[in-house]
Amino acid sequence: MQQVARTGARVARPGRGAGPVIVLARLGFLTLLILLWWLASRHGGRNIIPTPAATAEAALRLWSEGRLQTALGDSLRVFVGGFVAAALVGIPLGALMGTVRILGRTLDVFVYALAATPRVAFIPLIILLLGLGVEAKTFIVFLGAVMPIILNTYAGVLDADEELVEMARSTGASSWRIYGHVILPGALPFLVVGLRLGATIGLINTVVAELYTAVRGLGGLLAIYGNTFRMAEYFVIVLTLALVGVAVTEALRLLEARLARWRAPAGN
Amino acid sequence: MKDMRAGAHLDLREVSFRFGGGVTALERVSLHVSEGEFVVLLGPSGCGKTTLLRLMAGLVTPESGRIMVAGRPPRPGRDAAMVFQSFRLLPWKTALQNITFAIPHVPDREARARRYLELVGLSRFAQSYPAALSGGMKQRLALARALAAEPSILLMDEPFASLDAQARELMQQELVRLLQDRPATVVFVTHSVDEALLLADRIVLLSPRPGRVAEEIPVSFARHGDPRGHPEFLRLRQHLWARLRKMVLTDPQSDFFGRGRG
Repeated sequence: MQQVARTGARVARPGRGAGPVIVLARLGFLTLLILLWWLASRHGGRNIIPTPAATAEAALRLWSEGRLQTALGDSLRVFVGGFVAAALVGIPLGALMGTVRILGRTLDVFVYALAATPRVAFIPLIILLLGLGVEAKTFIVFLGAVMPIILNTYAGVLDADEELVEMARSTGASSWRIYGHVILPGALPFLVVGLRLGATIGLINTVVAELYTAVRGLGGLLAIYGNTFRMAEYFVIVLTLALVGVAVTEALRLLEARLARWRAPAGN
Repeated sequence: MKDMRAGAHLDLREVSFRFGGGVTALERVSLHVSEGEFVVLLGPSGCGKTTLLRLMAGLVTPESGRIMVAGRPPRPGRDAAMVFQSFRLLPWKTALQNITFAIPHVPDREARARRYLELVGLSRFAQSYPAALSGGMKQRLALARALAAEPSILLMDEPFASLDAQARELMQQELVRLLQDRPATVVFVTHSVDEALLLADRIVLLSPRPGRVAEEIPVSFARHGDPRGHPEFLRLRQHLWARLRKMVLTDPQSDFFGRGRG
């Protein structure tokens, strides 16, 4: 998995709201997917793939029983907690590593090593340390999300434009002022990529954590329905997870578009 | 802020500077610039022009020798403001914010920034980001940023070199016009002989590797009208070109080394 934004090539511009043609095309593609799903359910046999209708029915049932909301709430609490903690730790740590060169060059090898180790490997240890509750789950999410956030912030600060820094110095600006007005804004595109990768990994780890620790949340339901072959309910959970993923990445895209207004070539 | 008239406004005595790799960039350079004087540093690549400006700005310190600006050692942002070839605008700040960034200690900085935007004809673009400005407009903004600090010295590092020929000529005139209203001491680095002759009160010719002062030439054209047809202009132009050509052809690190016809 690519965990660091490529330097040089600027990060793709944030989406500026899809035009009507794209919206129609997307709806068309969605229809096509549902059609394929329906065909698969007709010919998949032996109740492995539920029909779209059966899945919708199951979704309504889970919603009216309140089980979907409860699971969603549990999962989101774990995800948001771990992700916010990862941002609060990862951004300052990455920035510090990029600023204090000795620290960065000492630590980066270890961070890369830790980032390359499958975080699932730590789960038994985490369970022993923190138990099976929310703390352990949140920590598993944190551990996954924090690595790309550290590494991208680090890369962004290292990528600071030396010419702009010199310009700022020539005006007599202090190091803090240069940091706040030149280095951090320059690192922002990297930072957002880090947050986006962190959010994706965090979401995966949320489900993984719920499967390995106390079976709760969306991951818990996934395990229960999967193991008992209640495929319609199982599909509802899978689709819910996909929707959460879309919502989180879209939210971060909007944030990026807001923060990077200056890249639009039109004035005002 | 003002010069105590203790001799030169800007005074370099036997200044040497070496890069990190040990390459000598400047060797015992002495230079005196009076208040209000427009000095152009002219020379081929490798003559240490940019390093000289950075020393005068206080961005780097000399290995040996002494630099005095308005009677004291230089400190970034106090007496001098810089203008760079690559504009160096903060892309995430509007035109107005780019100027206020450079003058954080001025109490009415926004009003002052607007005044200088007006002065360079960019009032309409106060809220624009640099990405929306043309090359000439960007350099006018960079010039406004430097002037807004109301420095007693302007240090300009090939400021018009990345502009096209017309924009370059217009910017030269603009600079002359701006300096008439608010006189400042200017040290201006360029590769261009014509630019040097058009702008300078005095041209300091530098030779490369290591950078040394080769010749100082006072220029006496009145800076109104176009002196380019003046016989003295043509004579100096020829003289400077001859000297520059020789420096380049005898510099082993130059692309044109040994290409002369003798």
